[in-house]
Amino acid sequence: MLRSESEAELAFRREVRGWFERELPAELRDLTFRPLPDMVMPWYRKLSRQGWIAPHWPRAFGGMDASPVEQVILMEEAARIGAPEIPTQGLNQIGPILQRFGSDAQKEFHLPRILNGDAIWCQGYSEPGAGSDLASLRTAGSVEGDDVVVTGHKIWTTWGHHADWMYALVRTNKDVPKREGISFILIDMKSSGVLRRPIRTLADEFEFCEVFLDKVRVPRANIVGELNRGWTVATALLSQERLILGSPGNALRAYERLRRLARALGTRLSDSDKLMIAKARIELETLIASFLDAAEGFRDGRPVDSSYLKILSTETTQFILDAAQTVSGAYAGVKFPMDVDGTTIDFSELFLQSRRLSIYGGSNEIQRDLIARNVLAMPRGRA
Amino acid sequence: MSEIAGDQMLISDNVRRLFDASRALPRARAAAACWPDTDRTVLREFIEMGWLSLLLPEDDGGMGASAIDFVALIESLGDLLLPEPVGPMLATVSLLAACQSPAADRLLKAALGDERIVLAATEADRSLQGDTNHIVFDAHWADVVVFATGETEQFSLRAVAKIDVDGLDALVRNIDGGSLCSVRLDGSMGEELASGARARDIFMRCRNMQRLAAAASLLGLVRKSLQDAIDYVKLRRQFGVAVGSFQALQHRAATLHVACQSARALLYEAARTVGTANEAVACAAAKVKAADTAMAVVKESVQFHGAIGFSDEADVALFFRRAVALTAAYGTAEACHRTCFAG
Ligand SMILES: Cc1cc2nc3c(=O)[nH]c(=O)nc-3n(C[C@H](O)[C@H](O)[C@H](O)COP(=O)(O)OP(=O)(O)OC[C@H]3O[C@@H](n4cnc5c(N)ncnc54)[C@H](O)[C@@H]3O)c2cc1C
Repeated sequence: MLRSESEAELAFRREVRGWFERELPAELRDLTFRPLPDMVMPWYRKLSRQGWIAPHWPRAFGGMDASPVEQVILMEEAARIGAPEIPTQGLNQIGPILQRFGSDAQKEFHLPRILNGDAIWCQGYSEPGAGSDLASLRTAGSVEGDDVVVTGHKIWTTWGHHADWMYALVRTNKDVPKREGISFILIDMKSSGVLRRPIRTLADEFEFCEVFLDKVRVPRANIVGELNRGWTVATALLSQERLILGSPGNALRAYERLRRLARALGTRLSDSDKLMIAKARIELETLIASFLDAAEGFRDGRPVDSSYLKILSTETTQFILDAAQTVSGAYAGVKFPMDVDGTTIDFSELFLQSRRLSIYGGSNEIQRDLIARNVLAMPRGRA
Repeated sequence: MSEIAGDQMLISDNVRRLFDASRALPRARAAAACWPDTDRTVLREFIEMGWLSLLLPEDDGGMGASAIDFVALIESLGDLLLPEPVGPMLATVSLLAACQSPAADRLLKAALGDERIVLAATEADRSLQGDTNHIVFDAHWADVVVFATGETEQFSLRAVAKIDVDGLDALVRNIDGGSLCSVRLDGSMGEELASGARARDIFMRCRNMQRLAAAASLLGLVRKSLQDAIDYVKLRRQFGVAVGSFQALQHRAATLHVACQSARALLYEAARTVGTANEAVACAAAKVKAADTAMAVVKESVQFHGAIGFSDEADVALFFRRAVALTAAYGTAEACHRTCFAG
């Protein structure tokens, strides 16, 4: 972050750094892969006990109500120490939505479990036939007494095979325009009729899965908002999601990888490598500045153009990891982390992972479409 | 665009049949899964049928193929994602033939007779492991490695058996199922094949041919990968239409088409320069262009496919990983840029 920090912010940074150094176990630092729940949840719980798990949540719900600068400080310090990636569907997606649309009972039950790490969440939106065109989803829910009975097929569900709960979109009325017959519902993944199959990714691990729902009985009380009014809830969440996807956390982690590679290369760094790294730095600072600008605007009541941030942050991360590929030279395709003069370097994993960023959370093509139409007020053209 | 000529087509058809084109991708998958794959069955057949002499002069019993024929063949094999390092082997065999020394001739006979697989470590590229000074790509296939040491008068082209090199069994695994290996090679190792300025020319030719081969493989594979992506967006429907009907995707497909066509033109132009003063610059330029084009195409192929493109189940994942590995191998962007600047 280029901005100079106030005394209080500097003190906060020192506190965070000191605490991370004391509390983050060595075996969780600088991991070159995304750790599974067993490995990462103890750290999640520790952050939670410290009160730092939900910087962007309001205090009333157990968050930190952190300022944008404080949020960036936390992200920078996490990147600096090489803190592992933690599951975020609860914190960044369903948590904020429940705060806004949830019933008292839903808030009371779910929010504490998200904060303390007892519940891992997944997002059940996409289906084989409904990707960018989410509203065409077909997973069906029929109201039977106090239950909604859900049958359908969700796919690309990040961490669905580790999740305790899924927030899902289901069609509860087929006889109305597409967006008016969808409900937003919370499904306990231990319910009978839930079958999950992990899917291997480009990066050769199991990031996501498909979820088959066969007559799963979900209490009606698990509907968020009203029956058939789920689209409003879902789209509010999407723009929230993009604001979070617009945070510089991923790009900071990527840049830290690049710096680590540069340190390991030492005197072997060429001038053109240095140029690449400088360019990556410029992109990173541009992103941080944009995030601060947007988040501070949001705080002051300005509307957020979340599509712009989603595009910027995902493509900045990809740019930084592309730069790392170039600097890696002949080693750019090496599969497993390798020791380079005493430093463990991952050459390809994060780079491969970065290709997902422009696809999920509403693809970057869809975001550009939204900007053209909603921000720039350009006419809807031919397909 | 120059289409490949009749006899080039014949060669390519025969070799594709030999490598069983219809089962190539499952094979590439299997090779990456049970790593390192060194099943020599098909390679042995390739050698027995005499294909290794493709680039040798007809007077020496070779097939007298030109650099253009070579590029056409390797390009046509690109989409098969062969585990076998066919291009680098062919380049190394012609290096051996060019040496015209007893040591090189013995090795050549052994290579053509399928006893030893000879590969050249042509890129003394920035190694990141200890005090090693050479990187051998596809090292898991090699029985013998050809390398060069020394400058000008002291230039020595040498061959050393794999078992005589410390660390040549310490393979580093690549994401596509290939490998690289960093080793320390010096003038005391193995036997000399040729020396001095002539040896340097022979070695540089081999390096250039390997760069050409990498470029040709890359452009062969991305042609298929781009076609797959275009076929996919024609079929995949969202919002009631094929996503391929969106101009946002059409323009990018068109941009990639321009990149592929022009990179291919440069590749064949480079093949034509082999034996001329511009050979080194042309081959380096062709490699960089092919790699940049390939990475652009495979990234967009993933993007065009959406989430399924990020899954391992789609072939685009195989193309993506091979493109990354080939971009890194046989001439990094930095090494090729240096050649272009110097030339
Ligand atoms: C790693 C990963 C994790 C994911 N996790 C989840 C998850 O947890 N939960 C969940 O529900 N989903 C998840 N998804 C799915 C994600 O939301 C979808 O991939 C995304 O919405 C795109 O849908 P699709 O994959 O079906 O692509 P398609 O919609 O079929 O799109 C194919 C291509 O066409 C383009 N395209 C589509 N429409 C247009 C248009 N109008 N103009 C221009 N181009 C267009 C797309 O951008 C894309 O390039 C995940 C995806 C990935 C890759």
